[in-house]
Amino acid sequence: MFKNNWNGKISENIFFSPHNIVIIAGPCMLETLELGLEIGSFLKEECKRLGFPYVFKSSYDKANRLSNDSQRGPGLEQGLKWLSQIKKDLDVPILTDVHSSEHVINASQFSDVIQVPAFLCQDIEILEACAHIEDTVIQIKKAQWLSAEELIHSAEYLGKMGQNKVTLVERGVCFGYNNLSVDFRSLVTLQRQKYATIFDGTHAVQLPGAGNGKTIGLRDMVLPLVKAAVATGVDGVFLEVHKNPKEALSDPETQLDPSLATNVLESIARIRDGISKWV
Amino acid sequence: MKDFKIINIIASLSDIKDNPKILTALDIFKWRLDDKDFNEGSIQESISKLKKSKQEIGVVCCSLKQIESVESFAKFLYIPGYLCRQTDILIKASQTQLPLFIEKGNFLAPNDISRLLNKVSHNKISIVETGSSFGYSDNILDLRSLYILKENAIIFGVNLSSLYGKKSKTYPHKAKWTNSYNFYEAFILGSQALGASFFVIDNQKNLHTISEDKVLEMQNAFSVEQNYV
Repeated sequence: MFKNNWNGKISENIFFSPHNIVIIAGPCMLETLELGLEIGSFLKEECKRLGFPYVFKSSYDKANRLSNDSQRGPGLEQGLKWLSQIKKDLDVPILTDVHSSEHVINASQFSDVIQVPAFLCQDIEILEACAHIEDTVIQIKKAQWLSAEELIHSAEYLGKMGQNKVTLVERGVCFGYNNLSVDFRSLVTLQRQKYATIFDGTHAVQLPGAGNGKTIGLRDMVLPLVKAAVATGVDGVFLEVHKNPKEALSDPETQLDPSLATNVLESIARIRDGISKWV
Repeated sequence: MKDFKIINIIASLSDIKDNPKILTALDIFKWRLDDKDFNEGSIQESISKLKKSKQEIGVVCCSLKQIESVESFAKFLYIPGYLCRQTDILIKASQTQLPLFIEKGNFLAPNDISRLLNKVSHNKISIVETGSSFGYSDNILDLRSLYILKENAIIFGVNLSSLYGKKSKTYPHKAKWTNSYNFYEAFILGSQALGASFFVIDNQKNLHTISEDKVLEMQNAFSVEQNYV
C-alpha cells in the first residue's frame, strides 16, 4: 500500500506494485492523432512483451514554452478528443498534464492520471482542483528548484483534502543556468514517505534554454540515468517517445526514437528481473 | 487590514530621498502552501475594500481567473516567479494594460528574460529579480543577472525576501547561516549600484519579515536616481 492507504490503482488492470515498474510513455506533444496511436501502439506492445504495466502520456497544450514562437499543441478540445480516441482504440490508461484549475475538471473526464507540471507543483488553485476529483490519479512533478521534502508538502496538502491517489516525479534539479542534474536522494526520500515515485528520464536530461532560447538536451544520458533510478528504486519510469525526434515540435533533443525506447525498456526489465531475484 | 497579506514594493523616486514611495501588492488569494492564516471568506471582503481604496494598491495574481476578478480596480498586478513562463498568464496580464511587476523565476537564466518579455504586449513592466536557484531553499543574487537587465534597459528591482528564504518548511539541511538580515545591506547596495529601481519585501506573517523601518533606514543611507514604472 502507498501513502494514505492508496492501493496504487491507475485503471482496472494497471497498478503500481512492489515488484514491477509502471511505464508512463508517449510523445511529448500530441502533434497528431496518428502519432499518438502509432507510438502508443508500439509502446503498449513493447511493455506487454517485457511485462510492464503501461500508461500512455501526451500533452495537448505546452503552456509554458520558453519562446512565444514555439508550438503549443492541439489545445484542450481537440487534444482531449484525440486522447479519448487513443484510450478507446488502444485500450490503455491515459496521462495528460494541466496548466489551470479549469483544465483539471475537463481533463479528468478522459484521463486516468492528471499531471501537475513541475513549475506549477505548488500552485494552490490547481492542487485544490485536483483534490476534489475522484477516480483519477494525481501525478505531481517536482519543480527544478525544489527539494523532495518540499514536494511532499504538495502531496500532503492533497492528502489533507482527502486526495490519496498521488504519485510524485523526480525530473531533475537546477544545476547552474541552462543545466539540470539528478539528485537520486530525492527518489529515496519520496519512497521512504511511501509515495509512488516516478523517475522522468527524458526531462532530467534537458538543458533548458541552452540552445539560444530553445531547450536542448543529452539524449544519450537517458539510459544511464534511468538505469541508476531503477537500481535506486522507483515505482515508475516516465519517458517521451517520438517516431522521429528530430522532427518533433517539442523536445527534439531528448525524446527517444522507438529503437532507443526499446533499448531503455529492455534495460529496465533486466534490472527489475535481477532485483527480484534478491527480494 | 489584518486580513490582507502584503508584499511591499519600495519604489524610490529620485527627488524623494528620505521618503521612498511604498507600493503595496496584496495577497487576497491563497497562493502559498504554508499560508495557515488564509480565510476563504476574506476574498470578497478584500475585493470590496480594494474597490473603495484610493491608494495605489496592486494584487498578486496566479491565474487567469484571479486576473479577471481584480483587473477592473487593481492599480497594478504582481506575478510570482513560478509563473514567469506560463504564456497564458503573461498574455492575460498584459491585456489588462495595467502596470505589471513580473518576478523572474529562480530557475530562469537571465538571458531568457527577453523571451519572457516577448510574451507581454505592453511596456509597463518591471522585472523583479528573486535570485537564482543555488541548491534547495537557497536563492543567490547573481550580479550578472542585474547587469543583463540594466544593459537591456529593463526597469527592475529585487525581492529581498526571496533572497532571505523561508524560515519554515525549508529543506532540512539548509545552512542556517544563509538566513541573515545582515546580508540585506549587501543586496541593496549591490542592486542599487547596478541600477535597481525598487525592492520588494514580503510581509506575509508566517514567513520571515523585515520591518519597513529597517529597510527605510538602509535606504536613507544612499540616494536613488531611477524612476519606477
